[in-house]
Amino acid sequence: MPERVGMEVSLAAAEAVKLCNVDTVSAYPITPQTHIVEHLSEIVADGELDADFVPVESEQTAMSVCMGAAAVGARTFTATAAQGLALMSEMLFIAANMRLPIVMTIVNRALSGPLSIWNDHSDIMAQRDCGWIQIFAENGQEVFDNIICAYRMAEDRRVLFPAIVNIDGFILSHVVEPHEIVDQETVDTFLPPYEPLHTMHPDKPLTMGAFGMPEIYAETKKAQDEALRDSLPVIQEVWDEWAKVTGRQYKRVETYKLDDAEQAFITMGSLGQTAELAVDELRNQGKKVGLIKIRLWRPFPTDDLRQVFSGLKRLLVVDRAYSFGALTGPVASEMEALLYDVDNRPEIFDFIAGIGGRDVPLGSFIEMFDVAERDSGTEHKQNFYTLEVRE
Amino acid sequence: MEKHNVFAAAMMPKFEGIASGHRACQGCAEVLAVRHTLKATGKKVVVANATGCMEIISSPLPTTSWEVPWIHTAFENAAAVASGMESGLKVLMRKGRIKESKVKAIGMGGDGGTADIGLQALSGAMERGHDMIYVCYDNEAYMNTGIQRSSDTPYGAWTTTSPPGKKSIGQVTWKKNVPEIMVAHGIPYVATACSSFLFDLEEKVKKAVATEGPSYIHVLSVCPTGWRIPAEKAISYGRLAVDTGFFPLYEVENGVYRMTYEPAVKLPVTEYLKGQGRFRHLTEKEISEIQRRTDEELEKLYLKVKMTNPQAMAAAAGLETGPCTTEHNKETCIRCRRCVKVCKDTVGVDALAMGEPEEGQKRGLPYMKDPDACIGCGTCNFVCPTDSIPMIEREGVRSIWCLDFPIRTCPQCARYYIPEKQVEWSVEKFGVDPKVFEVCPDCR
Amino acid sequence: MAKPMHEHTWRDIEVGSVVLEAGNAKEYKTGDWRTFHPVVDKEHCIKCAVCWMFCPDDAIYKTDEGYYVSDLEYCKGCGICANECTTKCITMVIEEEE
Repeated sequence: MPERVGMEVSLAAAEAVKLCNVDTVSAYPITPQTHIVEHLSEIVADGELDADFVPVESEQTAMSVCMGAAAVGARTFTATAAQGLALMSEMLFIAANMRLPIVMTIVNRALSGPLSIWNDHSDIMAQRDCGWIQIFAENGQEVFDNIICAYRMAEDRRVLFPAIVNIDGFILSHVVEPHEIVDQETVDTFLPPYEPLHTMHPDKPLTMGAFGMPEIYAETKKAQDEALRDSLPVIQEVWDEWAKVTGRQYKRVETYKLDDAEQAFITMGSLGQTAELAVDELRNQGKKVGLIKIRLWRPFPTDDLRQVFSGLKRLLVVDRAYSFGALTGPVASEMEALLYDVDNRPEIFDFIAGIGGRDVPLGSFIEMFDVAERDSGTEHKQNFYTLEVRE
Repeated sequence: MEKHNVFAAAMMPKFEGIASGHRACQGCAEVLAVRHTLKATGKKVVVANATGCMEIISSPLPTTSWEVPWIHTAFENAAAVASGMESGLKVLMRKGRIKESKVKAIGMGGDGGTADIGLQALSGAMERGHDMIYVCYDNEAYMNTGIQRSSDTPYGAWTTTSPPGKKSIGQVTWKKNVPEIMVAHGIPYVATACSSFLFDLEEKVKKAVATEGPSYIHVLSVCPTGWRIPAEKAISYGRLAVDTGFFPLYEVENGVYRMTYEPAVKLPVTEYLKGQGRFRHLTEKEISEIQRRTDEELEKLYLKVKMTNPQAMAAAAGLETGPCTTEHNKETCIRCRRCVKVCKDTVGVDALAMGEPEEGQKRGLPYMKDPDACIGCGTCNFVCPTDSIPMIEREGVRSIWCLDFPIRTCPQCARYYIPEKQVEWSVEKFGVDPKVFEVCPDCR
Repeated sequence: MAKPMHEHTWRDIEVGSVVLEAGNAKEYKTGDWRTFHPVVDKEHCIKCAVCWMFCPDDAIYKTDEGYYVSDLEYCKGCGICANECTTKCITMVIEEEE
């Protein structure tokens, strides 16, 4: 029986990076990512990880250094949050198009303004379209496992896309949880060294980052989009193999007590843990409620989601970000688009909650459920609800 | 022409790192600089290029002009990407994943991508000490996007975003001195270069390749299109920029400044400014301000050359200096006394004398008895049969017997020929017409 | 040799839009840009290679006899070679209408 160790999730994340034998770590500090990079720099300083820790002068540079290192065939890692992610935004789109398999953990934090160091998903939602694989983790073990799996997915020749693992800031990153720290041998077998498809080296000179005239640019973007969609099965394949190795099975979309459910919550990230408790509570009250957890946000798991909706009458989406001026929050809008053509589609309710570190306890989920019941089929139904905001 | 044998061009490296068929303007001295940078580095490089002229003219998908590994990602991060490549290669070689070999990471950017938007990434990379070279190709504006001003646009220049008008003279700030910023980072090698002086450029690039740690080279890249000059004059104007002191050629090795080229005759800045459409609107007042400031900057530079000379630095710190490089060589001296005799009897200065013989010796050693009398004529060096009196001439100074004498350069052949003190002495003591010394004896 | 830009389908695009063939932009002949082309007076050419050194387009090559002449496929007619020639033996001559 593998040993489980209690440690702060950020440190477990760093341990996962160490086990992946990365070559270059380049990072700029930003709360609440700091513990990950601090621990990594200690690991490197003590020689436990043979890597180059590059203490860069901004997040833009952090991503640029990762791209340079990945371009020569190195395995790279960086981490950031909120403003840092926004600052490196330009490079995210480029890294994805250039197919550089960088792995990054985003310790989700609210975007300024006003300044906030606390958790919500506005930072990652603003990068929805950047072209990276985007995975959400719910607890410490998932963080640890998915960092390792992310490298395997990203570097697969059938994928070759950079990948983000999202960790809710403070709520997840700074809590102590039990982790099974998989041993080095197992990780080495699961994750072989990175063999780049194209690499920068004088033995075979090539050009990366040529510019696209209108005559050819559109073709390159379709090629990129098709390739990202083609990675859907490979991502699941990697998770299936991880399940064989560790017994922990991850899926693009996971469900909880959904089989006979008439209503379901939809969550991403750590909220899923509280939502499960809410489902249990509501079931005790005789309500047929379940939970849908979206683990893979991009590429969007269209087919997986379409399958889980059948039989549901009502969907309660929890959005941890605004999409200012839009009809709903980001996740709900994608659900509404997904289900538009489906016969007997469920009624969708959107709850924007957990903004800027606001706690979403079990009671909030119950309140969401009650509001949905109250407003269902009436003209009082709102496009989205902001129940936590004091009126 | 630089002081090189004119046939040396045929011996330059043949390697072409950027192929013909690129879309640079006619007469682009920037792509010429890139061509020679890569000749000096050779094939074993990985290049990160910023968005800009050199990137656009060379890489329209699905083609490339680059014969070396080359990557472009964005505008402000050439130095960052280059430092990432350096990091990756270093670790992969250390781990035995790729074979150990000398591959140098190079970052390339224009003045905009270096001094403005790229300054942060450059500063970070240099501070972190990566083993890389950064080359700034300075054509003095954002040329690729249509000649907008940058912080390296010279004072008074027309650009599309610093046009002269009723309320403005054009660019109102002086050119940002990025090489100085780089020296302040304490990196081992900083240099300025110009594509009109290609031997100098290649030597500097070679030095940078050999340097362990960060190097920075700032290359003045004449742009006929943006500067509004005829294409065929691209090289001439680069020469004028240097010969007027507008863009001096120097290098700084571990904090020690050294001029690598001095014009035989320093020209007034008007020679450089006139004929360039971007300066056409300048008034007398503005031109004289440019002259004044150019001279001031040059003086500051010469002062740094003097002050960072290792012996000067030691003296300033009150430290014992080591033997000067022109100390009389006691080991090889055969004590023949020719130096003393010729100084006294032939030249008539009588600055040298023989010292007391040491124990076991029949004669003593010669020494400088009267440093103030010495005129630096070098006759003692000339007659010494064992070459024990070293004489060095550089940067306008002749050094002999640990004394420094400013020395004249012939305006015709550009060679050093007579110390000023010797001229003064000849005029005062023998009433020789000073006009005689205006040109060296060979050219007279 | 690369397929022309406008003939690429999205499936032709290499992964990461990487260009695998170094220097393949040579296909683009910039020779038709020029108005003037350089003519070398071989009588006075001293084969010093200064013109070759200063050509921004590497459009000067050495013949078997050791003279340096312009490669008319790429020469843009900038005139730098004529301006820099040590013996001033290069003249820029206007392109004739064919």
